[in-house]
Amino acid sequence: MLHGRKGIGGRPRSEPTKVVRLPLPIAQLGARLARLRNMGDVAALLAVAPWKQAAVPLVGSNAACGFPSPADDHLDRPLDFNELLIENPASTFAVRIAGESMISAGLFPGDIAIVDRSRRPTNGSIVLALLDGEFTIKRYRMRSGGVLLQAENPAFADILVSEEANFEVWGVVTRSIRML
Amino acid sequence: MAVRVALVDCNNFYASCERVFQPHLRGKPIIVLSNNDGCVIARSNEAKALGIAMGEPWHLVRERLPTKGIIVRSSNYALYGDMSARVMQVLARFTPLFEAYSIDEAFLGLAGLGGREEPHLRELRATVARETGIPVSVGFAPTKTLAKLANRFAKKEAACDGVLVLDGAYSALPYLDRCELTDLWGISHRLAARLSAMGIVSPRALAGTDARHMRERFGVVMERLVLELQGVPCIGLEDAPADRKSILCSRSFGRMVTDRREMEEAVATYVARAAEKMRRQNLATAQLHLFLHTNRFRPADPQYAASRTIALNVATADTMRLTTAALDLLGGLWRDGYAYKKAGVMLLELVPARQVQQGLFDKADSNRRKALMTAIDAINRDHGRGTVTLAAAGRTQAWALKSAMRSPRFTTRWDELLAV
Repeated sequence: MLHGRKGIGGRPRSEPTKVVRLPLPIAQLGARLARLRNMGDVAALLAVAPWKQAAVPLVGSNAACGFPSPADDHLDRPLDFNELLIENPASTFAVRIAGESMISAGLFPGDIAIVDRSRRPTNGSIVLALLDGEFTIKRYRMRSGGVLLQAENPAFADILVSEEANFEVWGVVTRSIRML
Repeated sequence: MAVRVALVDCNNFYASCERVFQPHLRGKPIIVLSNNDGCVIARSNEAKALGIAMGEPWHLVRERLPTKGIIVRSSNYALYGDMSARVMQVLARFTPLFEAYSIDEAFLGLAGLGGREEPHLRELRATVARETGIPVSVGFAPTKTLAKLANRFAKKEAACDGVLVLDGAYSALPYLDRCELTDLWGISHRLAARLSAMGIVSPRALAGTDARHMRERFGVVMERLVLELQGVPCIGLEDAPADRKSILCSRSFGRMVTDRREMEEAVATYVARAAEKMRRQNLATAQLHLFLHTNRFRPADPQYAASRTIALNVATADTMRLTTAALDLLGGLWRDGYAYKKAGVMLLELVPARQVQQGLFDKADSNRRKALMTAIDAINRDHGRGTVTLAAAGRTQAWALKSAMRSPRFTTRWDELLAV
């Protein structure tokens, strides 16, 4: 029950009235117009809330007759490869492998390595490192003498990072992608 | 609980973005040039030390200085935009009260740290550096205006090591003494001159004025500024950036344009670009402004500059309508016999696209046309800018801008990744 001044509708007291039959949508027009006033949007005239958007799964039966799909109750999101490849989007970068020093670790020229800067290297991590201003990808080994950058290809020598070298780990390689 | 404000500002942002992927640029003077390699728009500290000014035309720098050893880059907005988004993402993890203020600055509201502000902010600074490679400076204070001030010193003074915490207005005083009026947030040279004429010559003097009195003389903006300097927060954090008042698309040409047909292509291209930006914000425009001019830095050439605004009867977001209007305007402005350097299109009187008033004689954009624009925007987003254009924008675009010295777009293009 509404109290107080009517927002819309009503009639001047002196005029005569007449009872009519109307389809419900028209009879309820007054209420919808009230919504229109509130929202200032013509779409309010329609019996839907215009600002609501919903993603509808593509799978699912829309047959009005026949047996409903047994999968309808078990709809799931499609696989998102980002979930598999990226843990922290802000700190994740992609790098193209150019050299052959890491082929035994499965990093071949042309592959894309995923590098996460938020990960701290541990003994045995594959890292993208900066050594004296040059990028290199190697396995990170902590040795008593300091850091050893280990190649994964017998043709390449390991590098013992000297005290005076300008060295930093740019990020940790977490995945690799290869186009077959 | 009182919320206090941190201003986080990226140091020499564009130059820092370049250095993340090109470490050999560390320690070297870097300058970044505007669209079309015209003017200096960013400098590393080393370049500032050489006396290269912000906004200086590159050809003048070249005449003035031996440029050997200076690293020059065309602007790489794809890279800077992506790195900015990463920095903002990291910062937003530290507080829900977050306002991205510009491409390289953000205000953060912090409360309840009870004296642990400085270690917290140092941790924030280290996290941004570790995760994105971008160095930032942090100023922390009770108000935005003082946070700006603190940031200035956090960046400049080695002793601050990137972070300066001001507990209150009192601790800001020594810093106020060490800067000029124009160093304060929101004080222009003109305003500073007016203040000086009244005898208010220093930031500390301004902080000591009576806010209500200043309101009578200068208005509410000045009152707020004075109160903020006194440690009373008046400028709140805005979580959503305010809708823009106007949208501009203007570029210098890659070479001088003397042919009217080429100018029409350029104007149609800028209209399309501006209209796309406008639709992304669900806006429509009721006024279009067009300008064009010759090269002012070549005084020997005949000079001409013109601009005009057209009011549209009904606000629109339709590229076709806007292009027609802009080409009409161009017809009135174009003069043969000049070598044009630059043109631009500005959309003014922006209104929400859902609230467009129908005109008496002109209809608002039809649903069919709106759907077409949505489809064009979607195609250009998914398949690259310029995939679908109006024929008026041309296909060759011989006038298009130079960015001869742009570094690879390391984070947005598969074919431009860093190779190791």
